[in-house]
Amino acid sequence: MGEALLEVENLHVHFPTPDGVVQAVNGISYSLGKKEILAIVGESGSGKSVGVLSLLRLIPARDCKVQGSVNFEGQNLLKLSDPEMRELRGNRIAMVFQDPMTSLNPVLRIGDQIQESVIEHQGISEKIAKSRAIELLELVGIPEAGKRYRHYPHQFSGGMRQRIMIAAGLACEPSILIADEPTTALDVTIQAQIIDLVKKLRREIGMSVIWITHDLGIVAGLADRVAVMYAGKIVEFAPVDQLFKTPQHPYSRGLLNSLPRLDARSEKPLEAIEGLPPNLINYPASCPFLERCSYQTEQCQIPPEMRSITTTHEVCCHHTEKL
Amino acid sequence: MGFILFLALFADLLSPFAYDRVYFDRVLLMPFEHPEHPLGTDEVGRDYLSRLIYGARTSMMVSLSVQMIALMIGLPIGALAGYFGGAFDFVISRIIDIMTAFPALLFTILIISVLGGGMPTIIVALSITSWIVIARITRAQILTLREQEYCTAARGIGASEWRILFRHLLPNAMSPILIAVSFGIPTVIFAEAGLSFLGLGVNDPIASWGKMVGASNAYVRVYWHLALLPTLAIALTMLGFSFLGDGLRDALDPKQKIRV
Repeated sequence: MGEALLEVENLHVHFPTPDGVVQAVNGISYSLGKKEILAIVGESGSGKSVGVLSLLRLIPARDCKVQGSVNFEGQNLLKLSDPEMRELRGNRIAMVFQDPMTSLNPVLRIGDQIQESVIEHQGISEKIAKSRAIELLELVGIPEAGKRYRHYPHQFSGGMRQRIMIAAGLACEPSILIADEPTTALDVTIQAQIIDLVKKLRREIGMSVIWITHDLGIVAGLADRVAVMYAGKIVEFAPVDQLFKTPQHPYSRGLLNSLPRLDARSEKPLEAIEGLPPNLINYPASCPFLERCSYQTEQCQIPPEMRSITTTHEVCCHHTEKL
Repeated sequence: MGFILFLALFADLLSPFAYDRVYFDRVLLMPFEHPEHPLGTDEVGRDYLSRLIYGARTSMMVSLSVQMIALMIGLPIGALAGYFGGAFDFVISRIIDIMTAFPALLFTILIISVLGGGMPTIIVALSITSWIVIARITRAQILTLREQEYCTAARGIGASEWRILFRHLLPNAMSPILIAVSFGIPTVIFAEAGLSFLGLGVNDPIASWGKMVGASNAYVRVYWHLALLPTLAIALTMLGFSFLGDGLRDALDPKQKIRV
């Protein structure tokens, strides 16, 4: 894994609303190594997307309060000026968004959208940028790239658009690619293609990836390490095989138990995690998973801290020994 | 519509007479009464057909330049207000509210009475009321578009705010704005005709349909063509531009791609 490329420390993202402060992200810390693929999993509303959007400061500052630090190449991203931040976005850290149907501009040719970041950041001529865009389209497996380059987003299928967005994200060969549920809108065969593509790109251009998803199947096939998020906190952080073999947090166990398994003989129904996540406006003073947890004790009234179980495996629970 | 534009552009070639050529011996001829004046003459003996054709030029000149000016003022102001919000948006929105609440005709009459008549003044006065519509529509469009995911995506690849606004958002906002412009043209034609009718429009001897209707009201009981023909011209032109607006809306609205 080597040294850390990106270090997030104690990141908080709060949204003040008329009804109270929504505590979307509550002190998450993690690091991303070079060439590492880190998966962030969690259910809807657990703060996965907000957590990474705030890394690139893509949430308008007037809407939210961000605290903590995000260190990338010796700079705290949260303290950079807007022009400095813009210099990084797309160039060093690129983002691929969730919905391929709405994330491409319908009135611009896809070629122009792919080469936009190259022209913006590297100041190269349109001609070179164009050949670069065509190269990228070929890389992500769009046939007849030279011709398709001129087409508009509505002339592509969802899977192709997702690949176009990945091409746009890769245009400047960023050090980090942040992918926010990029395969959620796609069917499984296209998902598999995109996962293969990302792995290939990691090998070839040596980038790190933060992959946000709620699909544990993708995590198993793609990630090196996994962060499980619940109610704006990372509750478990482990290498992917350890998480799947020995999940420590009750929530991670619940997630894994809710998955169908090909090797299970029994006919028993899949287990669901009962209840709902806590309201992020009235954030509980106890462990946030308390109400849904079957292992709860008196001790759980005090919110647990992140603890290391092994050198690579961290959990945020009081009862890891009992599990 | 194209016909009206054609008339306006080639008025010099098409008209049998100059619009201000006066025949004192041929005053108030009925249509077809004199072989050289198929649509008769007016109260001072000017060929009515020629004046109608030149009237098209006046209408087009006023309406197109007013909408161009309105677009040039309203589009950037609306776009900036919608995109950046804040105090600037607040001020612009209040100006739009006030101007919308104020009767536009009254306002133009006020401006014209301060600045005096004539074609440039009319264009200025009507532009001052017309940019409001464009600014309001642009602002509304930008307000919805800036929340689109591709806007965040563009920011995510490092595009500057100006680039996002002008390259990503405005092209998406163009179709309702163009439709507003094409619906704005008949409104301006009508306003110009109204002002000219009231005697606040273009100066003599320039031909204007509204003025022709206005001048005819002393003679209309006998010389009905003096009122009827320019009125018809106004009506047909407005109809034409309204159809153009409808057509543009149908053509530009992606939801209506499939024609019934």
